[in-house]
Amino acid sequence: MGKAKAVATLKAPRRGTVYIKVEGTLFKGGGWQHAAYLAANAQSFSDRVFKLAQIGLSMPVSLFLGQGDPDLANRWIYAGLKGLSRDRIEVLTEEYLEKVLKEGLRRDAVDFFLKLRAEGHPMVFFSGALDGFIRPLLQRLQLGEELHSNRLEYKNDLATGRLLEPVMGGYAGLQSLLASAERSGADLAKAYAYGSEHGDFFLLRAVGHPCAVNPDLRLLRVARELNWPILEWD
Amino acid sequence: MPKLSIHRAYRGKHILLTGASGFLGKVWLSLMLDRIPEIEKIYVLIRRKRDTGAWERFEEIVATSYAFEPLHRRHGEALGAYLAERVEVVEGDVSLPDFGIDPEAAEDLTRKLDLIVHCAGLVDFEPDLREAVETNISGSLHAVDFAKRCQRAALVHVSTCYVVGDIREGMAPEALAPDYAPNGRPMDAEAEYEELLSFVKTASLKDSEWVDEARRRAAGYGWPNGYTYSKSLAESLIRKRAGDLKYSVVRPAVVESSMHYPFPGWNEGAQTCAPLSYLLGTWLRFFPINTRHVLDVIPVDYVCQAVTVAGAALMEGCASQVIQVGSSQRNPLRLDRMLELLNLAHRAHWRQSASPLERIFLSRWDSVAVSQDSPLGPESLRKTAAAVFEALRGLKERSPKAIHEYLNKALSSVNKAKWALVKTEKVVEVFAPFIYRTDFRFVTEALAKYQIEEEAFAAKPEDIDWRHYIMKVLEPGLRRWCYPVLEGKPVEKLSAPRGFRIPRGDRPGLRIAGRAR
Ligand SMILES: NC(=O)c1ccc[n+]([C@@H]2O[C@H](COP(=O)([O-])OP(=O)(O)OC[C@H]3O[C@@H](n4cnc5c(N)ncnc54)[C@H](OP(=O)(O)O)[C@@H]3O)[C@@H](O)[C@H]2O)c1
Repeated sequence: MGKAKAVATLKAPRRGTVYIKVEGTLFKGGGWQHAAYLAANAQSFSDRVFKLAQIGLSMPVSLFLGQGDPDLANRWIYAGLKGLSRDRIEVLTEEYLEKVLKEGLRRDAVDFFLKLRAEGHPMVFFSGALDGFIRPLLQRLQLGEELHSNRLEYKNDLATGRLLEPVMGGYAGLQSLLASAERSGADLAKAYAYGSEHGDFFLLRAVGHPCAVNPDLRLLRVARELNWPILEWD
Repeated sequence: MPKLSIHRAYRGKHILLTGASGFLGKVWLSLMLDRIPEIEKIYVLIRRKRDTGAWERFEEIVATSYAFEPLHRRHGEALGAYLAERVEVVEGDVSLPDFGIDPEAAEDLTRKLDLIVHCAGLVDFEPDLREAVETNISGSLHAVDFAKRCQRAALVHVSTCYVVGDIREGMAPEALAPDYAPNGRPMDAEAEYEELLSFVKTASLKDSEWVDEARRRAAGYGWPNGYTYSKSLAESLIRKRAGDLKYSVVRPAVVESSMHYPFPGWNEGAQTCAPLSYLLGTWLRFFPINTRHVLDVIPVDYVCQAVTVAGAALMEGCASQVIQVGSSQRNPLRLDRMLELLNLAHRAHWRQSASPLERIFLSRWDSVAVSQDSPLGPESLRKTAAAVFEALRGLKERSPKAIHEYLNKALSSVNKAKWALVKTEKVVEVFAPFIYRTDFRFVTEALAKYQIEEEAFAAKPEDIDWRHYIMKVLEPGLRRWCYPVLEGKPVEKLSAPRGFRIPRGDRPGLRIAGRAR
């Protein structure tokens, strides 16, 4: 295992649901790298340039207009994929998945969650990345099936640039995830959550056992303030 | 809905197959021998090629063509004996009356045959008029005449969906008109054929002029090329001359790599999608394609299945006059999707290349559809290359000798590019009717109406997953079997087990039944 600092505190009692943010936790990088890979391999060169520029702008847009909620940035990123065909998106996603499995996976994190699964914890994954990328990743890693992630809208097999509701990756998505957990009678006080970005704070603070994994600066600060366990995996 | 059992229909039957050395014929023959061993005998009509007789050609084909791989796998060393029992080779030529078969052998066949599958044809989009008439029209009429001479034989005539010609809109029906011309210009098929025969006999033209003449005549009636003109005229004449003959016209669309039989991807020659797909995998970036149109592609084993059903239906008395075999009605493949999937298939290939240039750049060099008159299309690029070539030549004349070496190199590169573009332009021209001008879509109701008992003969175009087919089956198949032909390289051949022979001579079984006159 890598530099796990707080593993001892993570002995989860049986059956507490485990919520896991996929990107940043299971693998390095996030949904926007995947979107950029798709954009950089669009059919025409001009599309590549415009789409990449649009995705690149998501960061300042989020900073200036998003008030810290990644939701806007997420919608902005995927709007950049407008016009790409379902075939291209799915084929390139397979390529990208292979790349992540080969180069970006946090093996220790995978082993850790596999162990929790084997112990009988219900596992719920959430992600701001695309379902077509994350679902096969979880399948390949045999980590679980319950996933809340983003789905692109297609019309005539071309991406419209819009995401289907509920859009994940921002506060609203996490709210809908929590609402569905409550509806199904989950006991959040007994639940565990692993997040990597400040955007995951909303969920982390709602469960009894939050944990920050390779957190970004803002989440790191909050985790320290609130005395949450912090994990660092290579 | 007529119920059909393929096994029952073919049990104990005698069948004559023409075109058995071709792409479609080989797959059909192999499929029948593999899947319907109840057939009593298949007579394969093969013409002599120079010094090689029909029998030797057949033996060579079975020994070296991958179409027969499943048979080698199933029978191993016993394949020769199996073939000797099931197949007889008939030396003949469809351009001759009675296929030029030795009269005694022909007489024998007329008593035995239950079905003739006429698959021989000249599949060249820009044919020499003489050959098109001889093979596609006269050849088909000889098939009709021979079938009529037989005591009970029915005829499956393999034509093409594209006989419909330049349709404006809608779907081409499964109908057979006696004097058909796509643009409605009055056509008397018999008179046209008579006139063609005398023209071919009397006119003295250069080779290229015979090709032009075929194109000119076709265009006059609204066909895109001499091939479809000759195939359509043959159909009209069959309709007129068939009389009491039981027959079915099977019209495949664009026949491509097999889905399952003999194995996924099998293909041959470089007639249909191969040149197009090949060019899309090169540095050529802008290709005139009408992305809203459909290209009706159908795997060769689906076509073989349709031919089998057509024959069974004839022998069981529930035939359809015309059976179109294609995908455009039930599972249309639009050209934008075809282009996208071919781009992705080339990408997958070049990503594995050892050459960094191909791996890094060519794999990302997707082709893009443009309009036919685009300044980025091959024609404009060729003109630009020609202009650059001339400018460089002029510069060389006026420049000091010291830089001639560099200019010669540049001239040679530009010249090479120019000739590559000339070839590309030719491909674009030949394919323009199918990928640019006309949105060909074909009704395919006739085949769907049969309820086939055997699943292996009931594959449906609506079940084709185009992404899987194009990326994993069609393009890799073209790459293995067809691109080498375009590059002038040898194509991989099956090597039959050492000592593979088909017993002949006075032993029972395979023998030369006749000799071309
Ligand atoms: N391929 C397609 O995409 C496609 C599409 C629609 C319809 N079709 C039709 O399907 C049929 C078969 O096509 P294919 O792709 O199998 O063509 P192919 O590979 O070119 O085969 C043509 C066959 O016809 C034989 N043939 C030609 N002239 C002959 C003659 N005078 N006497 C005896 N045999 C002769 C050839 O024999 P040799 O070996 O002696 O030359 C060969 O066996 C044709 O009728 C074609 O019009 C094909």
